[in-house]
Amino acid sequence: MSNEKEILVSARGLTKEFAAQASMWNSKKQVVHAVTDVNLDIYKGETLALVGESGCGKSTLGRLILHLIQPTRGSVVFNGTDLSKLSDEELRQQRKSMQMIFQDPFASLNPRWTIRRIVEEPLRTHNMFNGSDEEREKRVRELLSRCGIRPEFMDRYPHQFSGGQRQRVAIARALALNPQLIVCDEPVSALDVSIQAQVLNLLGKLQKETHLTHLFISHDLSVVRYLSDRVCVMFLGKICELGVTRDVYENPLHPYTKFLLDAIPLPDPELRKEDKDMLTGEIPSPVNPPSGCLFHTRCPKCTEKCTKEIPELKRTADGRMVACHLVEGEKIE
Amino acid sequence: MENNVKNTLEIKGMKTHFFTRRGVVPAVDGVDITIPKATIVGIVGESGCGKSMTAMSVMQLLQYPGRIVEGEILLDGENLVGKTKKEMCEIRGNDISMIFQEPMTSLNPVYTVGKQVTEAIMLHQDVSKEEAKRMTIDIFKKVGIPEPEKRYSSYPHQLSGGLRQRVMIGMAMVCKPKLMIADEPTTALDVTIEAQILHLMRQLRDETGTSIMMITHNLGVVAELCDYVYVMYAGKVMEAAPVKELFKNPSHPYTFGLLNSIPKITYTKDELYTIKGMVPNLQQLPSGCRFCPRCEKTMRVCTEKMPELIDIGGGHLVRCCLYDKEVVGAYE
Repeated sequence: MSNEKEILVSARGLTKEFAAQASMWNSKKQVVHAVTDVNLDIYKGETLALVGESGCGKSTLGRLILHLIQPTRGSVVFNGTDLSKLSDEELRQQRKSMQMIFQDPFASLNPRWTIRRIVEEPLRTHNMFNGSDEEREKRVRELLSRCGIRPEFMDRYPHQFSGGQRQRVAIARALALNPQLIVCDEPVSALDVSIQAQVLNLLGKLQKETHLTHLFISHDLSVVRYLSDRVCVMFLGKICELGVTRDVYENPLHPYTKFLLDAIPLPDPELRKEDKDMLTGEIPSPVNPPSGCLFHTRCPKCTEKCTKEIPELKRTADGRMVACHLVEGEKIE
Repeated sequence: MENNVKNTLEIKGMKTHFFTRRGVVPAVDGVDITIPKATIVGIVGESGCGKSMTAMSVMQLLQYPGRIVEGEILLDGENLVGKTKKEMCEIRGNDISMIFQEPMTSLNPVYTVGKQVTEAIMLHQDVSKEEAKRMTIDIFKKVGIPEPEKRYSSYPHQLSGGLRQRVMIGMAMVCKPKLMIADEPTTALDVTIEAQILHLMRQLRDETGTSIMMITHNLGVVAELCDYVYVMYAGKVMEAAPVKELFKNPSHPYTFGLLNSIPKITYTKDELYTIKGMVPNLQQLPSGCRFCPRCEKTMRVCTEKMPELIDIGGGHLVRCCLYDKEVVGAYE
């Protein structure tokens, strides 16, 4: 990556460990390593996608970046401010510029509130327009129509809308305070294909208009290819590969990325492969992660070294970052 | 499979309606589906198009107030409509089996998975307990469950989503059914696990000759697995074709829209094609063709009559006025 781009968010050594109990009857303490030592920069105006299988820590990382949960170790610097050093009130002010869209628009909108109240809540909380009702209403109207909801419907309740429309309301709410960063956690995976395309196009359009920065969390690699500038592949709480989306998709370097891409069912029966290489086994437990490279238990190219040494993230010739012993690259400080 | 019927399942003109207090909801409204022997047939569509209700009708698991009001369901030539509950219990799990989207909710959490599969065997086959256990471990091996003896006494919550789905498939296959209905079997799974499960289903079909009805909204899964595809919309079949033909030559505007609105990993475009509007309310269906309010190629005739399924050659059927010779002739 060229250094000319401005960095909006910079995470250093970000780690999150959750305490867990072995079982209901066994009070032995266990630690779930959800995110381990992640270094990540998000540039202004880009869409960075976090991909990986369930349980790889992508949603936890998204929440850590917004400081919705406290990291165990490490820091997040947003626009030059270290979020962990802020008081609660300062953090609340900072949150104006960072918003989130959730996966399930049925759960993320209060069913007892009209969509007008839902969208204006952030405006009220931060006392925008000095409490002027008229201006606030004007803003809500404008937000809704920008997201493709007719403003006449603003006094309706969420249950009167379809899933796609509700997700549009959630997007309008996220945009209310003109944020700089929006974390989208699987925003289209609960939607039907034809509706998914409409919402994806809306997100793309809004980004062009407002120069937003998106952190897009998804398990759908086709959606990520369509939408993102850079992609970050995670496995068991660590980054395996991070690079420009096109490079990563055309020439995946980490064996895990390669398997992940090969596994996608392609919507073209002519490309059907009866005997494609498939990843065997399941994701190891984040409670007892394997030694050495976390992926070595499933990796067909595993060597002696992989089982013992943890691979560092290395920068390859084309500027990508890969954590694999078998890939050549220079060390990053 | 003694008789010489070529098709495992034939659904003829089936209508499944729900009689609610607010009126009749025609969830499935005159559907013809044929599943030949040892074939994987896909049924695709968006939520509410009636694809799951078609499956539930075949299984006769419709809940009140739903009812099959018309049509025939022929399993190996034998009509299932009108069978008593007891007769259906014999057929379910033995001749037809079903796997569901969420394996956690379809397995009983308080019994070991081994016991649940053994139960299914003993219900339908005259075997001893030991024999049933041996068969269960065998099928676990076949569906690729590691350490099958140990897993026999695991509870569902001790297994991962992929393994649970393998148990479900094992349970569905253990009585060697004529037909397996899979309702979104991989939707809740990760891509790498999905690829494993799809591979397993194809392998089982090749080995046992079981026909599979694959219900999904994922066109990638259809392209990967199915031999023949039905596209459903608002309770009707809109297009039906062999899989390669459908993807190469999608003829109904709805199918065309669906295929073009999915992002592909092979290339990027500035904007995705979208089908405008949304799925209609089944109680307020538009007159004429059900897709016409969202269709880009609507003609006046589309709002007047519902087109029939028209054969456009090569086993490709389309329900669209654009292919109706009379209509096209009148316009020219």
